[in-house]
Amino acid sequence: MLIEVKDLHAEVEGNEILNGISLTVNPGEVHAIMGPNGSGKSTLAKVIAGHPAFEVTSGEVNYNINGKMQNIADLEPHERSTQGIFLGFQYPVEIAGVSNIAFLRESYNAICAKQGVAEMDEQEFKNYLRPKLELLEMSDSFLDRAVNAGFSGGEKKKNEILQMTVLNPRLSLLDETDSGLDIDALKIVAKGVNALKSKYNATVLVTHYQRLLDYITPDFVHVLYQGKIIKSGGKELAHQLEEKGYDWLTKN
Amino acid sequence: MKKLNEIIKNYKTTILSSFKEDALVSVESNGIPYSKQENWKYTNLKKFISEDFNFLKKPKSFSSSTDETLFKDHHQIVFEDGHLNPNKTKLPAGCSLKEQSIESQESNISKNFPQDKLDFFEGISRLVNNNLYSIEVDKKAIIDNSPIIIHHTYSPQSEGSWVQPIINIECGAFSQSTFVEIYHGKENQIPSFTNASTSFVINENAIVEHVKVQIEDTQSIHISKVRAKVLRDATFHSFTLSLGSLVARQNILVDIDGENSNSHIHGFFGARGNQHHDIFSHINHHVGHNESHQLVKGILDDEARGVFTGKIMIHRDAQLVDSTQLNKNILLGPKSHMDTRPQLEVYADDVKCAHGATIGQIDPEEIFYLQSRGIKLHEAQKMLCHAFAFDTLEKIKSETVRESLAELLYEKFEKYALEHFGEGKE
Ligand SMILES: Nc1ncnc2c1ncn2[C@@H]1O[C@H](COP(=O)(O)OP(=O)(O)OP(=O)(O)O)[C@@H](O)[C@H]1O
Ligand SMILES: [Mg+2]
Repeated sequence: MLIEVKDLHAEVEGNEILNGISLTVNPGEVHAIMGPNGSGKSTLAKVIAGHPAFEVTSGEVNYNINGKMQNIADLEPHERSTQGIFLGFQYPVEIAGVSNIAFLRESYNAICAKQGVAEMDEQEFKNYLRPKLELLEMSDSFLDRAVNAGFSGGEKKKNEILQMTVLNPRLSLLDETDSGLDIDALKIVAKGVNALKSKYNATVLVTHYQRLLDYITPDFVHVLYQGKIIKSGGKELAHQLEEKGYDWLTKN
Repeated sequence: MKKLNEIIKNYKTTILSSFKEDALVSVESNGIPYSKQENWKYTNLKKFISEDFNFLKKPKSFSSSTDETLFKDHHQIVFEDGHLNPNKTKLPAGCSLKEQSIESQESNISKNFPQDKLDFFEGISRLVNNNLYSIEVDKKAIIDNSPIIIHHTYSPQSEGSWVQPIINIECGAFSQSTFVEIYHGKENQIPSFTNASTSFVINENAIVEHVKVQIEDTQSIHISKVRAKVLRDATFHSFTLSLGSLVARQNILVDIDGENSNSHIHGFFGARGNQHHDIFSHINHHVGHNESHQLVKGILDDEARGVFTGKIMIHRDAQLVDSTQLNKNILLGPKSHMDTRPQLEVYADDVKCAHGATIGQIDPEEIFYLQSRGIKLHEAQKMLCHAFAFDTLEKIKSETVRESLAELLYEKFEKYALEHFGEGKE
C-alpha cells in the first residue's frame, strides 16, 4: 500500500468540504478522480500535501514511509514532499524574483539532503535537467525566468511536470494538469507522466476530461461529489461520465 | 560644526543678501515639518527634533559597520561632513567638478526647477551653504567606470550638527553615466542630521543612472532631495536603497520636460527596530509623448514604520503619456506599520496610467508552493522575502552596482530581519 485515506473529513473556515473520503492507492497504480466543479477534488489533493488552510477534523491519511504505513497528520508540507508526495497544482503560483532554475535546484537539493545524497552544483544540475527539458519540449529559457512568471497556462502546467520529473516522487497528485493544454502539449505532458511510471510509484489524476485518460490509462476512476466518493469503477466509468455527465449519479 | 539654532541666531543678527533673506524667511515661516502639513502627514518630525534642534528619540540601538572595500574599484568623489575632500577625489575622464558660490547659481536653479518651492529644509540648506558642487558630464561622454559619490559623516563635534551637501549634476547631450551616491555614517554614537540635495539636468539623448544608497547609522536623521529635469529623448534611471538612519525622508522630484523621454524611479526600503522611512516621490509630466515607471517596495520589521507618497501629475498638454506606478510592502513585525498614498492627477485626456499599492504579509500560497517542493517553512519565507526585495534591485542597470547593493542589502538588513524566521517568527 502506498497511501490510505480513511474517512477523511476536512474543513476550511468552518465549512466542511471533505465529508468522509476513503481511498487506497497501491504502488504502480493510476487513479483518476473526476467530479463536478467545487466537489472537493483540489481540496483532497491539498490536504494530502499538507496545506495549512484546511483543518482535518476526523479520519486519517496513512502513507508508506520506509515500508510502514504512518499517519502523516503531523508532517509539515516540506516533509511530505521529501517523503515523495508531489502535488501538481491546478493553479501554480507565480513567484517574482526567484529564478526557475534556482527554485528547481533548491527543491532538488532539499530531497538530496533528506536522502543523504550529495547535492548538485549548478552545472551538474543543468546536465541533469537537460533530458527532462527535452522530454517536455521546453526551451532552456524557462530556467532563467522567474518561477511561472508570465508563463502561459500551458507552460505553467508543463513546468509542474518538469518539477515532478526532477523530484521523482512516489505519489503524484496531478490536479487538472491537463486543463488548458492544447493537444500537442497534452501528449507531451502524458509522455512526461508515463516516463516516470513504475511499479514503485503511483499517480492520482484529477481531471474533467476523458481525453487525458486516452494517454494515461487509469486503473481506477472515482467520482467525487460534495466531499464524498460516490462511485468508483474502472476506466469505462470515465467514458460513461463523458457521455452522460454526473446527473445520473447525483440525482438519487 | 555649530548647532543649527545657533547658526540661525547668527544669521538673524547679520545683514543678508536677498537670496539668504528668502531662505531665512522660509525656515522661520515653515518651521520643522510635522503631520499637519499635507506632505508630512505620516512623518511628524516634531516627534524626533525639538524646537531647538535637539534629538528627542533614541534608536532601539543596533548598528552594523560598513564595508569600506565596497566600490573601491570605482572612481570616488569623497565628501566629509558635507564638504568635498579633493585629495581623495578622482574623476573619470569626461567628467568635471567645480565648487561654486550658491548665490552665483541662483538663476540656474530657478530656471531648471521653477516649480520647486522653498521649504524648511531647502531654506536651511541655502542659508547655511555658501557653496555648492557642480559636476558636468561632457557632451557625448560615455563613462564606463561609474563614479561613486561617498558621503562620510565623520565627526560631528556636538549632537545635532548638520551635514548639508548640495550637488548639481549636468549631463551633456548624448552622454551616458552612472552615479552611485552613498550616505554612510560612522558609528560615532553622536546623532547627526543630513540634509542633502542632488539635482540632475539630463540633456537631449543623455542616459543617466542614479543609485542612491542610504546606510547612515541608526542615530541619525536623513533628509534628502533628489531632483531631475529630464529633457527630450533622455533616459533617467533612479534607484533609492534606504536601510539606515533612525528617520529617513527621501524626496524624489522628477520634472519631465522632454518628449520621448523615459524615467524609471524605483526604490527599496528595509526598516527594523524603531526606524522610520518615508519616500516621497513626485513625478511631473509637463509635456507628453513620454514614459515614467515606478516600482517601490518596502519590508518593515519589528516596530518600524514606512511611508510612501507617490504623486504623479500629468499636465493638460501632456498627451500620450505612459505612466505606471506600483508600491508593495511587506510587514514582518507585529508592530510594524505602513502608510501608502498613490496620488494620480491627470489633466490630459489621452494617457495610459496604471497604479497600485499593497500592504501585507508574504503570500501564504507562495509559501505553500515552495514547501510542497521540499523547502522548509523558514527557508521558504526567507527566499520569498529576499525575492521580494531583489525584484526591485533587478531594475538597476549596472550589474556590478546591482551586485554590490545586493551585498549591502544582506549585510544591513536581510541578515537580521530574515534570520527571525528561523526563530519561529511567523
Ligand atoms: N480557502 C477556502 N475558503 C473557502 N472555501 C474554500 C476554500 N478552498 C476551497 N473552498 C471551497 O471548497 C469547495 C471545494 O473546492 P475545490 O477547489 O476542492 O473543488 P474542485 O473539486 O477542485 O473544483 P474544480 O473542478 O472547479 O477545480 C468549493 O466550494 C470551494 O469554494
Ligand atoms: Mg480543483
